[in-house]
Amino acid sequence: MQAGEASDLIIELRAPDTTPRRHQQILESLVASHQGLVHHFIKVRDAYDREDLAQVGNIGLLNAIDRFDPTRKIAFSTFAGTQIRGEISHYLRDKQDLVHVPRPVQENAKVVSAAIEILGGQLGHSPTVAEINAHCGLDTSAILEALESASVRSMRTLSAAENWDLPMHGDSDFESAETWATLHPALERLSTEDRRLLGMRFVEGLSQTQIAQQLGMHQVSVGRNIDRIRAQMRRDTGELSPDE
Amino acid sequence: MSPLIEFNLPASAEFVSLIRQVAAAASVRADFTVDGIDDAKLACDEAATMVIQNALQGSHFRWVWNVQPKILHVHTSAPTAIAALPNFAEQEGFTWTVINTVAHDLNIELIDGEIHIDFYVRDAIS
Repeated sequence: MQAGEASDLIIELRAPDTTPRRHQQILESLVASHQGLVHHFIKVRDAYDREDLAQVGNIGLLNAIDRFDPTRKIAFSTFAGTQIRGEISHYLRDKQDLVHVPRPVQENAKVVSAAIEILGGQLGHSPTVAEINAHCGLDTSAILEALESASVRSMRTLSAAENWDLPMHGDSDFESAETWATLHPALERLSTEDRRLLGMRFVEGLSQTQIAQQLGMHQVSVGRNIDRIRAQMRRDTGELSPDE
Repeated sequence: MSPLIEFNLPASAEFVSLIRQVAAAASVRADFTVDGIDDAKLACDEAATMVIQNALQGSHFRWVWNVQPKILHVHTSAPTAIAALPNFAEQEGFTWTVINTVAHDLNIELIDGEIHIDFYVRDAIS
């Protein structure tokens, strides 16, 4: 299928005067002509049933047909690729066993979290590991393990925001994030709070501590939510996820 | 103690968590704050993503962290089959945005069939 032809077909597909028969013909044509794209994304997944993955990939393709905006300057195949890859990633993630965080690490995470809160208040910036060590006596590896466990726990709560109650403020902070044109569909699927947090971190470039101070949140909660949103963004844009 | 930390490992997604851990350990050696450690992990995470997506299947990538007080200089590379660098700003929207926020002097090059990514992470209070 030539570049631009898919766009034209999608416009025709959505036209109010397109007959049901023509609608079906267009849909079948779009799906058939993009099977190569679907199979491109499943060919490296040897450990999984390719037929299952092909079905999942086709769901992504149908979502792409449904969501594609022909007015954007992006090829349908590019957009469909992100949707197909995202759908496959989501499916594989759901099949994976969740990572278990051992209880001692969870306990250390609470200690480290409290230390960061207290020291952050005293120092006016986030503490170093040496300062946390001096405060609570945990060694460097235990502190790093505790910090990393926050990321692991954010993966476990990927679809359910935990203790997530961001105060609202002006919309201007996030406006520039709207320029991420190719990410737009994924951004739209985020909650307002998640988009605001993402904008503060990656558009305004604020640190976790600065965000925590502005929003009255705990620094560790900011980090955990950033990790969760990053994972969701990667899943929704079809980008490689480090825990895949 | 040498300021360099180097290793080679398969250019594959299952090793990214290991890179995060080394990035964190290198950041501690550079006396980073918790915010700085998070920046270093994020930057290495995203750089790994960019390299893996363009690396030859089954290849290894090389990582070098040069640790200085409050500064990490990170370099990673891997063999690639691509003939020209992708437009990362356009194609890797989210990854590109994240790494540009947390890393400084980001440089991506294609040299003799290898993709090279080079950047600095500075601690927030340096």
